[in-house]
Amino acid sequence: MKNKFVYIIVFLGALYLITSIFASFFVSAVVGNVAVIPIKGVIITEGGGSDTISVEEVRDWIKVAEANVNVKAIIFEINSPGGSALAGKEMSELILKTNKTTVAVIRDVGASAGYMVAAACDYIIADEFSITGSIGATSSYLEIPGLLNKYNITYNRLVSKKYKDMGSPFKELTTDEEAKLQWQLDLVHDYFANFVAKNRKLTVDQVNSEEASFFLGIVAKEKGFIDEFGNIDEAKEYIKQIYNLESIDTFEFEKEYTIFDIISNKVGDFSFKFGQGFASGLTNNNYPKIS
Amino acid sequence: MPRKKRIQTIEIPCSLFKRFTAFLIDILILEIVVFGSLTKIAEKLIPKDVSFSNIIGSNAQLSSAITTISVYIFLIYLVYFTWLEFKFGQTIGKIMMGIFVKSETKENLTLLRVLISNAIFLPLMPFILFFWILDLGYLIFTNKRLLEKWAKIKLVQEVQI
Repeated sequence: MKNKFVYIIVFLGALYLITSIFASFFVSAVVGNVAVIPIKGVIITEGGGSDTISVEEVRDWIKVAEANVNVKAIIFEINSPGGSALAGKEMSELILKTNKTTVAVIRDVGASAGYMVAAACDYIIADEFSITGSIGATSSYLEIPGLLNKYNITYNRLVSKKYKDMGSPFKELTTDEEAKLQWQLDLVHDYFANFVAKNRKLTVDQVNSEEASFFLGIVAKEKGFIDEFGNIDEAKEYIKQIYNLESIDTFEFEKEYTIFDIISNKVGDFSFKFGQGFASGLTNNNYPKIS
Repeated sequence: MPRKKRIQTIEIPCSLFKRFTAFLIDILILEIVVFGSLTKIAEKLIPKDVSFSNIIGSNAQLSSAITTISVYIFLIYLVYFTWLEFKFGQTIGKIMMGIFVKSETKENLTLLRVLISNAIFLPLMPFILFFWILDLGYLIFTNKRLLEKWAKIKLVQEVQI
């Protein structure tokens, strides 16, 4: 009986030892040393579909990369025209809080909130032809009271206070309302410009000199908005140098697409092509004639 | 001089309660003693406050890591139950509940037969899920697992008469 217990204890000890050895080798074998997080599409706070990237997705990816000691740096691959001011602010704050080296790689576009995310990184790489900048805020919208009048449709204005329907497309914007909206846009702009100035070590005047326009990577490098021309290979090389790494093994995240995203994408493509064909048929004379 | 009372025991099929309790004890022991380091690893890979489904779907390396860990856990279960049952006819849980694995035939237990009876731990996901349901269903209605029937193995407890 005693021998039986000794045997079982030794057996359990052996299992524990094997598991510990397996566990210690496992993480380094599985996880790479550089995390790659895609920021592709319109930046939003939560939810969204295939053409968006949400703060909650990026938050989880950053947390996983941060929790792993093997990961030395995070590359943010940006291809985004921007998004909501809040989402851009939250995403850039998440990046600022990380304890890893962060590198932004701007692909086709990294503008507006997309650039805000890049500006939060320690180092920015973009191609000469990447579109970046657009450091500003917009809240433009269509005003349709003329159209409503044309069809004899009346907007019955019922509000508890005078600014309640400020910005409604069904009525003309008053001077008062315009000033109020403009003031708030300026607040967002100032935050954004100060954020970029602080993180890029520029003055606010330098940031504002472009008047919120977008610009190419060539201009961005000249004005100090990016650090280097290149793509993900240059980013890897940069990380390799600062950490004296022999090789870079990437630990890549990608947005998960549901079957509904895929179907809605296909339906969207089909509808676009159908509309395009229909419109070109109407405008060109080279459509097949029915005799 | 008082006569020494002879105690006679007979073997009867073990109760479902004893069987499940023994199984839970074994799982608990393996969880505490063996899988502690694996749990730490899993927490390092996927922090607690992160959505598991969001991460698994978005990172191929993590998803293969979790698969590897699951396969490893199943293999350890298989080794633990098969080896101890082959060697002693009992695991720690079964010792504590006083139940044994016995051969239904006149031949002694072989490693292959014990392995067959524990084949539910083979990491053949997701097909094995179907088998778990089948095995459990058979157990509830017949007080014997389907795999035990195939391996000609029975689980018994001793009672005094």
